[in-house]
Amino acid sequence: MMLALVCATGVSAEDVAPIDALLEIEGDVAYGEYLATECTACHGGGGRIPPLAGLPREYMLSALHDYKSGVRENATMKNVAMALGDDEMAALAAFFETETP
Amino acid sequence: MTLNRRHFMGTGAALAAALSAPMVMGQSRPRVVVVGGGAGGATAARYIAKDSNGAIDVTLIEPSRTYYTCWFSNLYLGGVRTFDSLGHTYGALAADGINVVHDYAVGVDRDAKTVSLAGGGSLPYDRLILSPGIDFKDGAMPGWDVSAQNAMPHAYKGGSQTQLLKAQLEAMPEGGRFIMVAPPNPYRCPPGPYERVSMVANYFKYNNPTASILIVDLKEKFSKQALFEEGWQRHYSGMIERLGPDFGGANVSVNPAEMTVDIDGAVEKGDVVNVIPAMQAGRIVHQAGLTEGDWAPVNAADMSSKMDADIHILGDASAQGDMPKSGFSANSQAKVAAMAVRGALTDSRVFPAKYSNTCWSLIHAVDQPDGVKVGANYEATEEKIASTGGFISQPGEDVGLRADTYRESLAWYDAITSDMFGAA
Ligand SMILES: Cc1cc2nc3c(=O)[nH]c(=O)nc-3n(C[C@H](O)[C@H](O)[C@H](O)COP(=O)(O)OP(=O)(O)OC[C@H]3O[C@@H](n4cnc5c(N)ncnc54)[C@H](O)[C@@H]3O)c2cc1C
Ligand code: HEC
Repeated sequence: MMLALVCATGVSAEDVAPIDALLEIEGDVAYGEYLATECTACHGGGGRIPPLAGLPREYMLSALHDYKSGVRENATMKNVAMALGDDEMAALAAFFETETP
Repeated sequence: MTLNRRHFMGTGAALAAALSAPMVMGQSRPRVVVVGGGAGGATAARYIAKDSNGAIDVTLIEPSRTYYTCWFSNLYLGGVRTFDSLGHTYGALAADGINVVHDYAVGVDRDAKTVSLAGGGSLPYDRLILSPGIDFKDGAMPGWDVSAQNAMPHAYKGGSQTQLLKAQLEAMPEGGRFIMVAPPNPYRCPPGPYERVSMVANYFKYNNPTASILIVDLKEKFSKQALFEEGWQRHYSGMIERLGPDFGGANVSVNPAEMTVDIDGAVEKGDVVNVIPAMQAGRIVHQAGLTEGDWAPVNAADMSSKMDADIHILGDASAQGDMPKSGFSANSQAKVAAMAVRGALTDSRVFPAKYSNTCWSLIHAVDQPDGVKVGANYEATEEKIASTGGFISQPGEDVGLRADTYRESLAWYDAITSDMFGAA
């Protein structure tokens, strides 16, 4: 229920781990591969939603960080990022970097 | 079986798991049978086959050779999407090593662990996945049964019913009347009937501008109501009327021979009448004895039946908790089940279940695409799949954002259909 409230009102940038801390975490690639199955429901068809395969880890982490904190505005991606903890972001970033575009 | 290059580039752990699994020809591999090649079933079959690299023998049973999506079928009614663009075949799944059997499952023997087919014979399984979608409840709408679906189509299963409704709308006289009898909760795609009204209105606006729409609805409120009502006012002022329970809508019956709807004694005649009756889980889960009431209860952690740990039930047929019955949800649930099944049958890693759903609806198309969306995240609790929060489009958003939302939905359609059926 708390989360629902946070989601509806948006979190402030301070509630989200700083990007430097995220970059320090070593991602679990196998976990990332599982989490990535959520992403492929929207990513991979081209058009308005960009591809993720091969994205550099730093780029992925800063994008997810920015959606979560609201620096980058998109309600769909914000909702995705809201449900990801730091380890999950790190795992996703590590996995997508290994994928061939 | 072609080995996917992607997997050899994956982690050492994944590779080790693949190699330790019994792959030698002739040695019996664990068997998974999937019933229903729709949103849930196609996804589950594809992910189990793809991620197990041939270690699991996957059979998909589906009577149709082409699956026509319900999602975006309203856009076809609205004239902004072709019928062909909704069709998906099973060639890519077969190429992934899945044994695709075009037949209909008629029974499950849970003791022998076999599924029997209408075409004769039966298939043994170690794990069974059922994703048969919905069937309509006989007698739930007085005057309507499945034999009435040619006069009063439901168009709530993909394919020929959608084409029939489209043909009826096109044949409607100038200034004619379209009546929709909306379904009671719970049903597949909560915003679906109201997106349909929007798309029918979009069609009328440009092709039959004096036509009118009556919605007969037993529900107090409906999904994205504020957004739809605002949009109907903005784009189709005066065209759409809704009779809710406060108008005495408690007592509704239909007469397909007369093309009438009786609402508490007031008889309304339509040129086209779209009856969307009450729904229940697809027949096979009832036959298998896995239902409680209309739906099949499942464990939130892995979508396994509460009555049989070797059977997973996905999508519309399941009673899982907070997720809406949608193609997106079925796809999300299938990925959790696929992971759990692989974990049980091979020694691949198992992670905590994570689910999500986003549903877009199109309120107006031509010249001014007006798309809205609702989405949420979910986690598995002991009791059910529980929402952890979400978002919804807001009334009064600017036209640029609404057009962008529509473009997102187009990209989603292409992504999710290749996620289910493989790249064409
Ligand atoms: C008008 C409309 C609009 C919609 N829009 C959206 C949308 O925008 N987004 C969204 O996410 N969802 C949408 N949906 C909902 C979506 O279509 C369903 O929720 C989804 O298809 C459910 O997936 P499923 O796997 O449970 O069933 P289905 O996709 O219906 O698949 C079931 C399959 O099982 C087969 N089958 C059934 N019984 C047997 C048997 N005994 N043996 C073998 N095969 C069998 C059937 O032939 C069918 O192919 C919409 C639905 C409608 C009606
Ligand atoms: C419900 C649909 C949906 C899902 C699921 C989804 N995304 Fe997105 N994603 C989008 C949309 C829409 C955009 C474009 C947003 C924008 O314009 O900023 C986007 C953009 C992105 C971007 C920015 C890409 C770039 O080139 O700048 C990243 C990174 C991203 N998503 C990662 C993910 C990851 C990781 C997941 C899975 C955990 C995921 N997305 C799941 C819809 C989705």
